Amino acid sequence: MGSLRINQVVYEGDSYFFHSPIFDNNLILIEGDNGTGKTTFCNLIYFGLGGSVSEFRDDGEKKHKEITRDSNNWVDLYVTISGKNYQLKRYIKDNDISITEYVAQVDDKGDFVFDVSAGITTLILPINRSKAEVATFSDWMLGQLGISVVELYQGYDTFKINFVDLMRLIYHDQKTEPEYVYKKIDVKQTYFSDSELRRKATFELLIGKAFSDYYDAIVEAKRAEKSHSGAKEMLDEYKIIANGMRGRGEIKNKTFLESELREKDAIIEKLQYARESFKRNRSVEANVEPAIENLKSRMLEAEVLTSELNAQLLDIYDERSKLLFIKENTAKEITQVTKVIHTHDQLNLFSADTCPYCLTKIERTSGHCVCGSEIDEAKYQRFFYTSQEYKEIYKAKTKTLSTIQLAIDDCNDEVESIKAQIKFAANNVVDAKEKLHALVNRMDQRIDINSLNDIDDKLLDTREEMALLRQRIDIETKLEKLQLDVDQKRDVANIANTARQLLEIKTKDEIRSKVNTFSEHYNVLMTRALSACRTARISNDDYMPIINDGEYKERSSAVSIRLMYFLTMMEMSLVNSDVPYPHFMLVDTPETAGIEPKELLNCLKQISGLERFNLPYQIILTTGLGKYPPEFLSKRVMFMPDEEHALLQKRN
Amino acid sequence: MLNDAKKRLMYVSGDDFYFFTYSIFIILDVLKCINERTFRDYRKLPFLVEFVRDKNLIYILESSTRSDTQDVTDGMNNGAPLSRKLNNVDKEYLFRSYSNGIARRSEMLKLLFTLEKSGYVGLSKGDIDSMVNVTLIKHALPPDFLSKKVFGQEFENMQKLKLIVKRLSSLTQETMLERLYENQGVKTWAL
Repeated sequence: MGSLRINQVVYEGDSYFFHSPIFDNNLILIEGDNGTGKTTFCNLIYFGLGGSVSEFRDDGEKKHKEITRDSNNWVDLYVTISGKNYQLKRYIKDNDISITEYVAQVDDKGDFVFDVSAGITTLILPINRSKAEVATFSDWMLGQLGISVVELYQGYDTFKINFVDLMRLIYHDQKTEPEYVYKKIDVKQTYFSDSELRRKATFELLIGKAFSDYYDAIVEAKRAEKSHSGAKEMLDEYKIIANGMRGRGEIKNKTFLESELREKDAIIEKLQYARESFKRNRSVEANVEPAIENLKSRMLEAEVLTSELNAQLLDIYDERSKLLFIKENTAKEITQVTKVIHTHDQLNLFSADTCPYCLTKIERTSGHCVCGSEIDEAKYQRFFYTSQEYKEIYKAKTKTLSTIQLAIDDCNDEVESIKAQIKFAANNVVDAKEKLHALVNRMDQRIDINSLNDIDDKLLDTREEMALLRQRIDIETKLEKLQLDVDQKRDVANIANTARQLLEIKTKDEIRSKVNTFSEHYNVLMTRALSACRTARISNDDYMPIINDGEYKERSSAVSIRLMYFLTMMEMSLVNSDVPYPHFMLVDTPETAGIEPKELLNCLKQISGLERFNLPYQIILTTGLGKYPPEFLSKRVMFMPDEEHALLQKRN
Repeated sequence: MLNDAKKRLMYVSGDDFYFFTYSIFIILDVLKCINERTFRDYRKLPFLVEFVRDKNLIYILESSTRSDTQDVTDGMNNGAPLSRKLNNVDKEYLFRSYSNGIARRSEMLKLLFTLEKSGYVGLSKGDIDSMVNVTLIKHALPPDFLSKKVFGQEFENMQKLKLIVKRLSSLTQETMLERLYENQGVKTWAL
């Protein structure tokens, strides 16, 4: 499994600086008096690994004045993670870490120098998670260490295990009350930041390879379940909407709806055909229009004829009235002639021998005029007529009268004829009018707007129904899709859950065995380190130490209990390469909480026991002056006996 | 034959002397100008002949002078027929009778002399030299001559005229013409 090793710690600032020596042993001992910077040294490492150090913050309770007041200051950690060298650079009061690979070289003096100028890309990662879901430094770190970035669900909350969570069992700090074993969390962000679940997960991740897989499976199952329930929620939601849209209509599946749609389509086709037929009928009737024109001209002709005939009739009436006048006059003349004849016969006043000038009777010789000239008696024109002549006149007049009567009769005949013609023409007009009317009516009947409107209405209704059906089909399609999605997601969730359950069994077995193994190692270490300890193990429930079956609760032994707990982890990782614990411990001044010096030494001596595995590891240990087993002196890389030799050196 | 026909065609009934003759007799008879009673001024006769002959003229006069109007009761024109506006056709008709009368005037005296010679009428001198009065010597006529059977229409016409225009026998020519024509709006001219 992965491993972590600090090779050098560097602090640079405008006012102060610190360059640690290169750490090339398994145990790194740093000896210093109180206030010389042992804890600061540890905090620089913790800070460099992404931890939050309140002393380095302006709002911290016990700020480290030299560092918080310094400017342009940063920490460089030269580390080896799982065999690869990285420079981790973090500026004070900053939350990004720059990761640059480096190459270790030997300089002229035979010292190691770390060269980051090899031009290998620098990665800048944030420490805190943001909603943008970019990878954090912790994710990168855990990836390098071969530990899964697990996401835990607690209630409605989810969180990811970070490297600093693991640091709780790696960094044996001074601030934490040792009874709690787990290092105090930096900042309590949520209720779950320090939950038992989180602590247990930390433990499990650090001691078991399967735990990563198991937590992955949990995460996967949870995610699948969440996805499934989300899909189901959506389906249910959509079902409500679909029911609303369906209205009173019964539930029909897509197949039925589609066949209904096809039926409607057929109806539309029929209706359209019917409509076209109607229009065709109308075009056939197009010859009605010429017929109308024809009738109109017929009517016009008849009307013109009528008026012409009427004019003729008037002329004939005029003629007839003139004839009647003549007839009347002639008749009058006739009666007058009869009266003249009567008078002539009775009085016999004038004759051919009456002088036309004086009207007296003259003696005239035959063949001579009154004037004496010779004349042809037959051709002798006189003003006076004989009875015979008057009768001739009468006869002639009578004949004239009958002639006039004939003319009048002719006129009457003509009047009748013209009247008949007028009547005929008038009938023609009426006839044409009636036909025209009938034709126009017929045209209206043929077009039959009402039927056409009915068809159109039906078409519109059907189209609307189709639109509704399509909508419902869409809904059903969507429902089917959603249902399918739900089904698929349920399957995935079931599989994930099964996988989780299988892994859970397996993991629980492994945990039990790992816990047992842990307890065995812990028991050995504890009985060696603490004289009062007869038995030591950890609880199966919360993995917390139980000493002498829980009867032993001496507070002075708390440091031993905690330190051995950490050391057990280290030992297990050296014994079994499957244990992900990164072969690294940081222990800050363990001689606190009133531990007996003898017991402290016993505890520290247990570290030496790790040498027996002949495997590389790193324990960085800071202690007070002389508070360590004498054999550790050779491991001492830094000695800060007084403030003059304090950690941070002021620049000149 | 040709000449006979020509003569017949030349016959104008309105100019026939026999026609004048019987008309004069009827006028005088109706106006009772018989024996001693005379008809004043023969010149009025040609106009009256027209009325005797044509009943249409009587209608025109009748309609023109109907006494159902206020004019009569007003007593204007001393009971003389008042003119009513005639239509143009009637006026023209009336005017033609006036012009006919004028045309026949010259023949009239000639005829009256013949009739006097025949003993059917008596002529006497009037107030002035040129004026000739006329009277009918009825008994000289053949007894059935003025038969109503023959001259029924003429008698009827004259009777009506006598009712329309009073004192026809004694009126001066001017007055008579005024009443027959001018009052009806027909223009006459000095004779």
